[in-house]
Amino acid sequence: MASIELLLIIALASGFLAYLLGRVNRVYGAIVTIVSSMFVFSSLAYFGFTDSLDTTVSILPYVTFQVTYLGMFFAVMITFIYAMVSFFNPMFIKDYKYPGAYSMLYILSMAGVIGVFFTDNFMVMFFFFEFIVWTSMFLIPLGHSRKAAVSYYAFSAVGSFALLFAIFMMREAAGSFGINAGLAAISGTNAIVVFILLIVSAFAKLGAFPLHTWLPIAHGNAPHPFSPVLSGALVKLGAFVAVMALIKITPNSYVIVALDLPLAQYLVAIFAGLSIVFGTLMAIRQDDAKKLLAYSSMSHGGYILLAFSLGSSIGLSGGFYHIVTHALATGAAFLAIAAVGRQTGTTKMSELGGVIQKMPVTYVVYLIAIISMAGIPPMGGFISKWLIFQAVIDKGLILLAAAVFFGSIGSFLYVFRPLAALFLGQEKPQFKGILKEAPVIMLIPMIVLSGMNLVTGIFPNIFLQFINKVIVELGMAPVVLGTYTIQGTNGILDPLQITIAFGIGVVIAFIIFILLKKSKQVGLMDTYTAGNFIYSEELMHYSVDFYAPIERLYEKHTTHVQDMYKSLENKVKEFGNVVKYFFFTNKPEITVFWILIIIGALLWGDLL
Amino acid sequence: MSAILLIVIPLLAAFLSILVKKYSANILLVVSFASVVLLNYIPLEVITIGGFAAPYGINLILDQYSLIALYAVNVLFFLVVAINCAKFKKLSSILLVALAGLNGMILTGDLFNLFVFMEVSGIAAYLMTTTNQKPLATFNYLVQGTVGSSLYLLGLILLYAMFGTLNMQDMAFQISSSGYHIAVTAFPFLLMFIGFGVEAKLLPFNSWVQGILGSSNRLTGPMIASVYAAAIGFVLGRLLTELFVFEGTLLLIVTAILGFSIVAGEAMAFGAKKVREILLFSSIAQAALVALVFLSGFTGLAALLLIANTAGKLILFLITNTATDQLGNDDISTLQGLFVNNKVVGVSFTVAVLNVLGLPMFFGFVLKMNILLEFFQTDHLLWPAVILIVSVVEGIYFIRLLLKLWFKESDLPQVEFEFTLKYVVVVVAALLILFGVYTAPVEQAADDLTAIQYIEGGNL
Amino acid sequence: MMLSMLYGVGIAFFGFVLHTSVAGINRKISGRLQKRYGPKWYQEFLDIFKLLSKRATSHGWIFDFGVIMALGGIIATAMFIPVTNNFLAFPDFDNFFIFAYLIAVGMLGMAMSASGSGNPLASIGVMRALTTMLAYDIPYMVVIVTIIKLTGTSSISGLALYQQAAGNNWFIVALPLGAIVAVLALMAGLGKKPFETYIAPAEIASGPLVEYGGKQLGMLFIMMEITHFIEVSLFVNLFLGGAENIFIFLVKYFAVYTALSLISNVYARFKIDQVVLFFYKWPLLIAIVQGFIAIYLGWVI
Repeated sequence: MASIELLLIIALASGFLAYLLGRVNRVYGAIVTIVSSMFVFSSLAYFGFTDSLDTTVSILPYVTFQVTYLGMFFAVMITFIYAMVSFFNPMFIKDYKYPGAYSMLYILSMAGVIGVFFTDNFMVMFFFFEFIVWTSMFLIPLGHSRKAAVSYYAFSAVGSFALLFAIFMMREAAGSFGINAGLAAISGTNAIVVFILLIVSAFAKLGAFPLHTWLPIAHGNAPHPFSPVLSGALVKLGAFVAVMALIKITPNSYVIVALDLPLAQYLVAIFAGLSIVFGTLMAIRQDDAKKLLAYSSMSHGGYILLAFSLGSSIGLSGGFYHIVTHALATGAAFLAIAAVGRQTGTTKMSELGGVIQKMPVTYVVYLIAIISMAGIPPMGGFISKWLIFQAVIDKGLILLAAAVFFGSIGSFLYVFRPLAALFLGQEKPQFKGILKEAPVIMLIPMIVLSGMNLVTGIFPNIFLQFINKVIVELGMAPVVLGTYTIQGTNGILDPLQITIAFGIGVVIAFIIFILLKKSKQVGLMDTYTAGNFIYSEELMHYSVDFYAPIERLYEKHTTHVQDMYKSLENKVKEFGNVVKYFFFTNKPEITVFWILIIIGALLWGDLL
Repeated sequence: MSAILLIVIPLLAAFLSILVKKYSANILLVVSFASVVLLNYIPLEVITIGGFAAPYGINLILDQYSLIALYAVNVLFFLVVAINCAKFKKLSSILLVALAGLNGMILTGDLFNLFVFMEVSGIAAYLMTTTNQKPLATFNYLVQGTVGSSLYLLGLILLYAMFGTLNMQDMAFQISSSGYHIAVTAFPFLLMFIGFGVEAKLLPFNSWVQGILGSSNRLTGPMIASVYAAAIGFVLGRLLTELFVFEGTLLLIVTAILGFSIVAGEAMAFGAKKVREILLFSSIAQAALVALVFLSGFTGLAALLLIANTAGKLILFLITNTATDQLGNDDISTLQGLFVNNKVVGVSFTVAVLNVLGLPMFFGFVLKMNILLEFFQTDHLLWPAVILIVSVVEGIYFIRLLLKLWFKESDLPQVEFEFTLKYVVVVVAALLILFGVYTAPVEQAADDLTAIQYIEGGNL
Repeated sequence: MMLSMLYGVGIAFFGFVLHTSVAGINRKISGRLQKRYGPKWYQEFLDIFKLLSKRATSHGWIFDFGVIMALGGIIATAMFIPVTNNFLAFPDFDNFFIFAYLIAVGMLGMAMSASGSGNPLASIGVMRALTTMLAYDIPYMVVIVTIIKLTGTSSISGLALYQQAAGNNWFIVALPLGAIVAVLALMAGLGKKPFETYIAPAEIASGPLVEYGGKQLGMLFIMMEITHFIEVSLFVNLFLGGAENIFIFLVKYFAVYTALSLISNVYARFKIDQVVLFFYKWPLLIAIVQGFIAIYLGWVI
């Protein structure tokens, strides 16, 4: 038996240890993050899957624990991402302004994850929820931009406070902060309000439309190793909140008969669909690979929300599995880009090219990650998207199906862009000779994540069986699984079979290739130029405005949401200035005037 | 030992310090420390002055509530003085008078006596703020303060005419038993509320704040924003809980004033470009929030919130004004990167800010959650919504400020923080964390304070 | 399992032979249409074998690996195609989404290899191909979703059987609007004019294929023949009721491909953004309308 409390305390303590050791030598602090996060992940996974997590609390005040499959699902997955990413920390720690603080906050935010997912008390959950927010908030400015942290905090705060308000409403209904009691007790109009608040919270956390503007800013500017944590792990807190709202609360809303779906759920699905489309369109036009991946996270967040909002077992299963596959894929992709960023000093596609020549392993990691992200077999993303398609089609949601497929095909476009512009193409002269493959310690997590991408694609049932437990816990029927097959609503999928077929195809192609005459190797500059003499690599590399023809169609409409928030900000400032203008003068008579007005208001109301 | 010593000793010391100017700073330090120590030995009691019993004579009330208030004010006062006494030797006598006035305000059970102490401490404050070197602002403060206290006095006179008593308990008793229509007392109450509103920084009676705090120095900033704010807040709390009966239109007006102060304060801070302006506008909002919580009847929580806020403001103003004194101005751009080489100070500042924002692990979180809980339990859903929404705004500008102060690549501002200051801010910050994690005594204290019926005078 | 796999490889090979022949015949037909004699029907085979036998240049390992991945992926996809009701390798597992996404592996391999050549024209070609795909696939998928929702199965052979059952029309009749969309999408998918922007020989020198020669080009030709086989077969199965026996399949297959070739002969090429606008203006709208009336109103002929 392993006590969760002990684990939490160890995690917190190791955070402070990381700070102290980080003061001695910054790399020591980073190594503590590896040890600590690996320890937390492996204990959670080992004791969790053997059902031997102990929930007794003896030291911490107020904190109570419970182990649910749902919480364990999230906790294990998120700590896994933390553990994998932590291997990058020692290689990046030298760049940070406050290395000790980085190591400490990295571990503390992970400790918060344990608290959020293993408690049965809303207040404790909220405590750790906010704890994660402010610890991670201070990690972001260690990267490129301070503004990023501000917008991260602003949207997180909106999400947190919406959640808090909902928690208090549920507490009033249930009389206690118990999570299960609270969710069960809410009903009537209050249920609708709580539902909306929780959805706002989920959207803000997941970065779904229209609460998404922080996502590219934060992900794009966070320190390289922290971006995968944000994208793969922390935004998934929003999915957790969404599950509470969409599955556990059933507000009495009008049911759309044709769709067999309540209006509330349908509206959420519509916004999720908008997130998919908007995230895809924005990702297509990014030049910074990290921002591109950030918008892709927004789009995938939309998939997750959409899947949950459909309310069917297969949708739920698809949503949960998409959380896993997206976390693994985006984690690997961000890490690959981080490795490139470290070796070259930039993540802008227009400044890079031909990185594959020197970083082939990183390239392969990225390739596998994007295959999964685009939902192409034999990687995990295909399975989860397949499940989501099943759920969408089962309900016959034509418009949402269009959005879903738009996101899916659109993902081919945006994931290919870094592939072509950053990894492939001409090798930029400034990197020739100096660029090296990432160090081994960075390759380890990237390779492990790639392996996981493959495993989730070939043997999804290992994971889906556990997800079935989660679904049953949520009160739904499990998805029918064979030894290797998954039974959908309109077909069966056998991922292993597809993989074998793919393997055979590749073997045949390889045999054909190897039997034929050997090719002559030529350089990249030795290409067809239609008779022109092109002498420099820059001129022979197509990377700027990659999708210009399609971008042209919507480039005027990309900033509406940002503009809205900007003008909201200005409105607040204006209001402040107006008040200042009317009340804050150096003339005491103005104050007297206001006093008279107020007295007048009283007299006019009551006495005269 | 009697509570009266808390007023008498500083007053006597003030005279003494005029006689021995050379040692005035030492006297100030010793006396302010002594009054903190003294608090431990004074029994809770009601002291009658001059031998006349309560309704006719003046009495001092030392109950649980005023004890906490005295602790807060005296400790904060001591900390401010300890850091500043060497530099502001000339002000020693005035500061001692101020201490006497503040202690008197908290202790007194007599409404007219309260006016006297208010004036005493007010005059001390006007004099203190002359060190800001902004005569116009000080003059403005003086005028507004005078207007405020006149309105208070006017209201009091009306009440005296109606009920024939000046004693707080007696007045409350008379009002509740007289059966007067609520509208009759509304007018004097409003006048008194406005009178206090000037000192308590409530909009729209607080235009002096910008001039005073916006150009404050190391002494006046923490003194006005922290020590005075604590004392006034506690007294206002006592009046709101014990004396004032706000109903009908009056309640609406008062609530509107408080709500407007909260919202407008945060909005103004949001647009501010100077560090001290951010802090002063945010303290307007906080003062109004404290008053609102008092008004809603959550006395204990309001008192603790007041302590948390004023303690936080002490750190913020001390650090900001020290930096401003050395750098010449307080534009955010000037102070940017301040903490890069002053990490200890920076961490304390950060803790104070996170405390104000009510983030977990800090004292502010515990209080905020409990206040929201109380509001929900009394079915007030509007206030939690307002508080949470302005919290987002508050968070944005404070985090923006923090990040500016922590990050700058080159050309860092050179500021020296002396050991005493560091020591003080670290200890206060540590306490904010301690009570954020170890919440049992906080909740106990809040419950105790709310439960006390100190009005009857018997529950001492 | 292993037997099914071999069976599948056989189907892929069958598809290659079939489509190469049909394409050759079509070249002849086009020639006659334009008052030329036209090449022999087996000219395409000759081209491919000639290319395979020649020595070529390579631009690095990703250039070669991409080609292998492309051909491998497409062969794997073709293995799942149900040719007739009985001539199929994996009954029940010929899920539509396998085709939709497994085919993408092949495409990705080719795109990767092309970009790996370092020639900007190749990248531009890939960009155009992907953009075209984004244009035509959405309306097409919406139509397919409608069909799957109506029949309750996504198995291609299952859908063919559904149309063959008494009382059910072929979907080209049952869902006429959807069928129009599908025809347009198929033309774009096959790279027929006016949607052949990504090849555009005179503009971007055949786009993705610009750097290839020898065995790599030969393998990509094989890959493209099989790709076309997959796309046309899908159309036959989805909209023309599939085939009871191989003869019917050949007739339908030939008819569809020839018809499309003929149509494309009279068109000029769109610009790439015109392709996108075109597909998002009418076909998408028609597809959604079709979906609504078929699913929510139940109007199926």
